[in-house]
Amino acid sequence: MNSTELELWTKIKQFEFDDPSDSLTFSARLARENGWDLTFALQVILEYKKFMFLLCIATEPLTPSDEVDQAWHLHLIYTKLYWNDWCTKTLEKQIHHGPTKGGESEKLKFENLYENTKSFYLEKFGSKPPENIWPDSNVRFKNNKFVRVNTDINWVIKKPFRK
Amino acid sequence: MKHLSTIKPAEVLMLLNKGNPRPTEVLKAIFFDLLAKHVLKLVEVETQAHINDKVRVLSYVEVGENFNNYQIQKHETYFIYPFIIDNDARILFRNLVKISLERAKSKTFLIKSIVHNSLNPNFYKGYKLLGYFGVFSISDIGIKIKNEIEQEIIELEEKLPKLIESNLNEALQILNKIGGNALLIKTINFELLAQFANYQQVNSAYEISNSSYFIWDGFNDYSSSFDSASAGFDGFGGGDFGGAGAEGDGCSGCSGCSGCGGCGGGD
Repeated sequence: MNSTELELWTKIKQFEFDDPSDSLTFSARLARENGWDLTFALQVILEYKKFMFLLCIATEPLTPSDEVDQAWHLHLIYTKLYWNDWCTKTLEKQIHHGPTKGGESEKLKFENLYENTKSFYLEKFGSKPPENIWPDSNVRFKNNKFVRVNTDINWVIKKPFRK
Repeated sequence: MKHLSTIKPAEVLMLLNKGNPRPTEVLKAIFFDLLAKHVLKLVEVETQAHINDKVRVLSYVEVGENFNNYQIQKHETYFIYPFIIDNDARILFRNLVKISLERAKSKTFLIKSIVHNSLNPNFYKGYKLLGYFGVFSISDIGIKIKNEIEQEIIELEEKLPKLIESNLNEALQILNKIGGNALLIKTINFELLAQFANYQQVNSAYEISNSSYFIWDGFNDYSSSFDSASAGFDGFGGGDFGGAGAEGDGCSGCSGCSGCGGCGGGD
């Protein structure tokens, strides 16, 4: 990282997503909505910050892991926090989220972008992205049939023999 | 002070409450003990997203100077786990309390982990046979130690308030030795202690021999914050509800927002 990048990364790293006075904070909501524990949710938020930093300095589009994407999705619904405090005041750049348009070519495109993102991460942070948050692309783009389930009235049972 | 300076607060509370302590009290004592031993430290950080924004003071927890040399017990990992994953982590105080509750799981689980990983297994009996089910009792040795600890607490409750006024250094040294067990000394006025210590520092009447008072400065506030963050754990949990709001010009609260259904890209 050069000095400008380091300055930006420091600013991003210090950004606080949680307001301790809230009864349901950003990280707690992220954990709850994804069935994660809070420790993991905080790790994901750190990785989301790293991804956003990479997006700010990249010249090519990048693709996050599914976990990081979930943090991004949640952040986007806190519109004021996302556009004012995050993009305008912290990143000083408007970062838009572009979902896939579907189809084979898009799949291949995003797989390549994902691999490029991980290489760029290694180059800038000097270590590989953690595998529990940034899995291989065959895992990243395979197990992603998610639906919204009301667990107050439904049970969710894991299929046997599936990782 | 023999026992209060050698037995960690989780086990002291186990003995004093005959194996049935309040879990949040135990967790709070563990946390302040880790602070007192400089395994963890509290830092207050002023944050401001933009120069025109209000400055917020946020309390974070980081690793302390003794983190790498400290021999961690199972029940202490509830607070230490995030720092084992990332030594440089800085966790909001409130989040760390939540993490400790999450990892402690339940009263039974917490008590079992203290008993099964005790440095003083002779304090308990029956746990080897039925410990899996959380069944155990305090042994005769444990009861003897409990009585001696109660006596030590009575003595310190008498002695410490006077020492804080007459010999602050000695008071701080005692607090340093007993670590998180200081929470059991109900007669200590932590605000007064911090005021005296600050006064002595500013006026240089004499040098404060160690930095332990910084742990107790603001103790009452942190203690209340701990209680509020852990509310509901001793009995049953409360619930947060979801919802969405809207403010400003033209933005709406979500009622079926459309968009990303798969992997996202960004540019």
